[in-house]
Amino acid sequence: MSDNIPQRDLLDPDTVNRASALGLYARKIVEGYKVGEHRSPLKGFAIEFAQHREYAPGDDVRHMDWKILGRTDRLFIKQYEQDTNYIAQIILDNSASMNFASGELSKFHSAKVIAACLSHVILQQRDAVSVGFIGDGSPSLLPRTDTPNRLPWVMESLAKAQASGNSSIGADLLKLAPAIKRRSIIVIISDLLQDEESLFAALPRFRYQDSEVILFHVLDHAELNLPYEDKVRFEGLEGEEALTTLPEDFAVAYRKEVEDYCVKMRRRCESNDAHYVLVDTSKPLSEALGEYLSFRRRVHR
Amino acid sequence: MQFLSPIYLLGFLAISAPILIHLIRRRKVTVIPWAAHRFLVSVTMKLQKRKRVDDLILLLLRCFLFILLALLFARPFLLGSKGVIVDESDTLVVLVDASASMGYSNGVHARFDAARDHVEAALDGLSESTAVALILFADQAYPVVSPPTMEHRVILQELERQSPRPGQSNVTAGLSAALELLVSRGGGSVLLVSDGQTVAWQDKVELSRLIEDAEEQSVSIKILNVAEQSDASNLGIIAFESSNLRPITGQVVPLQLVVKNGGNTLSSETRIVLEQVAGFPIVEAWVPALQPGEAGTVPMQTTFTESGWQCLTARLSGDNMAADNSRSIGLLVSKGRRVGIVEGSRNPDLNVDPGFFLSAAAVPVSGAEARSFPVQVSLLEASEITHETLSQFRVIALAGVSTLNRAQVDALTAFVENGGGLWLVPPSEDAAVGQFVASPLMRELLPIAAIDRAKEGSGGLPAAAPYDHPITGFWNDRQSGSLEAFYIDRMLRIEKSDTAEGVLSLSNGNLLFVAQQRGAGRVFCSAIPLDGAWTELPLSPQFVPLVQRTLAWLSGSVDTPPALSPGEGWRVRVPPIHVGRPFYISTPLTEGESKTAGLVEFQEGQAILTYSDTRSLGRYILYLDPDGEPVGSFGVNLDPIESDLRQLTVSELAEFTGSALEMVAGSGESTGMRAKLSAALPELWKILIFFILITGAVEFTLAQRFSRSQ
Repeated sequence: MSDNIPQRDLLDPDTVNRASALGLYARKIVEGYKVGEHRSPLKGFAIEFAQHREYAPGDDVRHMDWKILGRTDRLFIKQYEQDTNYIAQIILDNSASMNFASGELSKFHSAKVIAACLSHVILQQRDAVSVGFIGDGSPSLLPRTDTPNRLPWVMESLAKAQASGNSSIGADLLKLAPAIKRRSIIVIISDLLQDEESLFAALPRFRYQDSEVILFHVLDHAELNLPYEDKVRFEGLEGEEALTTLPEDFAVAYRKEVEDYCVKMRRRCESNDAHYVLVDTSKPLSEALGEYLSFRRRVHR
Repeated sequence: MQFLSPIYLLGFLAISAPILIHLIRRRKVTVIPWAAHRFLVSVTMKLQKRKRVDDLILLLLRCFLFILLALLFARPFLLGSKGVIVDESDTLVVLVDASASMGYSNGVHARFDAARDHVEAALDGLSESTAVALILFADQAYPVVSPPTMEHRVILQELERQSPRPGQSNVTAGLSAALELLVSRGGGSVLLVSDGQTVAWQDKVELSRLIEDAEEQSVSIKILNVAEQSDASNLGIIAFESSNLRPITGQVVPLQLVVKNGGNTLSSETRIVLEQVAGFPIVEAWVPALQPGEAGTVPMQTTFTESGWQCLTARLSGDNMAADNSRSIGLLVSKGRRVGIVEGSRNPDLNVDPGFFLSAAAVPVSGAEARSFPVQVSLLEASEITHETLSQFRVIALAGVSTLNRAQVDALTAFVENGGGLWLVPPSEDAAVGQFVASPLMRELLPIAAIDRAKEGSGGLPAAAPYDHPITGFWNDRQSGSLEAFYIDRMLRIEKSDTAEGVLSLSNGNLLFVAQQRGAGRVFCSAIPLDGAWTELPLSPQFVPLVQRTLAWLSGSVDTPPALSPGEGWRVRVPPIHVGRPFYISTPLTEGESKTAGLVEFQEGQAILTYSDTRSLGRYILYLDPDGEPVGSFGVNLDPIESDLRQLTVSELAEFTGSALEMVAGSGESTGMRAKLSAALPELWKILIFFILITGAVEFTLAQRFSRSQ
């Protein structure tokens, strides 16, 4: 199942429009590298007063609060809130299981569309985007960019990506962790069918870094509902042993199993202070993305 | 190979069902590259438990299927199945075997009960317009409901009241009665419900004729066997005899019992007891293990302490057929035995006196002991041989009497005919011997065909044991001594008559003693005088026991039979004073109590007590006074042939098979009933087939469904 698709197809107009309208605001304070719309964790000396701090030798005397010196005869430095932009690390699972498609488009394609749309929205906000891939054993993270003009380059990178391999996404994520030095918004797009334990073992690392993690759990409609009636031979995409069975005999049990699994993933994400978004590839992505971004916007306020 | 119901071959079309299912299910398997394998594996692992349940269901279904198949091959017959036994006809005669063997029980129910059930089942399926008669048969036919009735419940009600009778099975009599009834009504059907005893079908000529007649008269005969295949064990007493039916108190009475294994399995060692009073065993013995059909003799003995009529019962430990487990005989026990010795002459030389040794051996004690001795001897003159005198004695011995007149011979003949014992001893003197041999009147009394004077050198030693006669049988036991201990110098040459039996012969074959049962009495004749002239026998130690045993045998008969077959009548003379008075009887049905049974009648100048209601097996004791002494006793015993439970074989049955005769299903399988069983398979067969098909279809469908989820 190839995902060699034109770059423009990755930007679903409806999704992009809804996402652009809603924007992607940093739920937490992100550590940007230039002044932007988002609060910075750093206390700087800009416009909005934040707090006082005792003077220490070497401090710039221009920020000395002279009024306090006059009243109390003590030296205090004034500190101000500093707005900044943020860096969104959009990391896609490109393991072989992402190639599954019950319809025309695979889960990996949906993941790319989500990544492209988010990138478009983020760059339009003058925030920075960095796209990465995990799950094939050789994790990679593209250089970040914060200029909308670089969007085609991001699209091209996404379009070129292929899903193959069978590696632990958690391990790959940990390998990328050193490259993510600042607090960021980390968007992980995966089907979570491979070694989810390792993923949840890696998430605390970003939580301690005070980064915000968003997990898009992408599943195909067939994977969610097992809609087959005849005898089927299921051949594993990641080398699992083939299984011949009559799906209708246990479709209900299967759906329950998947539902329980998704609920479990959601709870584990919440316990790791991450957002969990289940994406059914059969539904319009604008819906899933729009709903989430709307939710974020409400939280941001 | 032929088919009884070729229509069922259409069932082959049913194979289209599995073929269609197979074709429908033979769709191509869709191959899907699948990512969410973990969920499939997880769910199918959980489904393994359900699969185990599925397997268990399949296992149970398959077991049930095989049970049904086994049942099918076992050809079950459902009581209450309607319309499976008899054809519709205007008249049906239900002919039920009520012989004693129908009382055979498997521990739960008797064959007669099974017969009731089968008849009920047959009548259930019968049209209400069919008239039904009920005839039972044992030794003869017993019409119970005749003429036929359309009220079928009457048949069942009457049959419920009936029970097996103590007679033997006589199919000929029953079938004859049934055919007679049906022929008078222009035809119909006979349902013969029997246990298929071989002995009931022995009159093959008459039965074949009846079956042919039935065919000509449009009468169909259906035979239903109610005997179960396991009906195989039966030990029965087929003979119970005593050579001395008139013993005296204190005397050992030898008894001979014959026990036969009438079943078809080896019997085990079985206890047999002797009862003088019902329910109180006094002697026991053990019957050895017997092969099927084998009979064994069991010798027993007893003594009586009281005189009068007694009834002895031999009883086997209970088995499945009670009717032949006991046999009874009646005996008349005397306190003593009166013997009259008539001497032809008296001789001062006791060695040649004809009656000396005989009277001395009859009472071998003297003084006070002689007065209390059971045998009392009276010496009589020949002129005293009259009816009146003889009636006082049990045994009369003519010792050396060479001639008798007509009146004396008639009196002696009547004496013997009425149960007396007569001992004839020839004289030893030559002249008297000539008269004895030549006397035609004496020849009337002698149990011999020819007699001649003794020849020189005709004597010798008695033959060696074994001996057949009860008198000499005593010496079969070597501990009793030997009869070869005395020598015979001279003897008369005698030839026994056809009805007489030799008691003892010499080793050269010449007969020494001859005995004869004559009327109710007995006659004994010796070829030698019992003095010391011709033989040393009177001086031998065997002489006294020989005389005692001979006197016991001679007095051992009674003028009434000791036992009867069911239905036979019994009569005994009683004092004339009782004429017109009631008499009483204790029967097996009265449980020891005596009840009025009739009046003493005057017949042929004598007072006669007659009793004929002998339908029950067991002991019968008659009284003239309910609180007095018995005046007679006898046993009513089953015909020994009824103990034989062997079943009619296929080959034996084939001899009777005709178009009028048909076997239908019954619980019995060992008889030739199988011969045409297939022609009348009961409905249950179809029900079983139906369930087998249903079960098979369910199993097939479930197996297909379960196998798809691998």
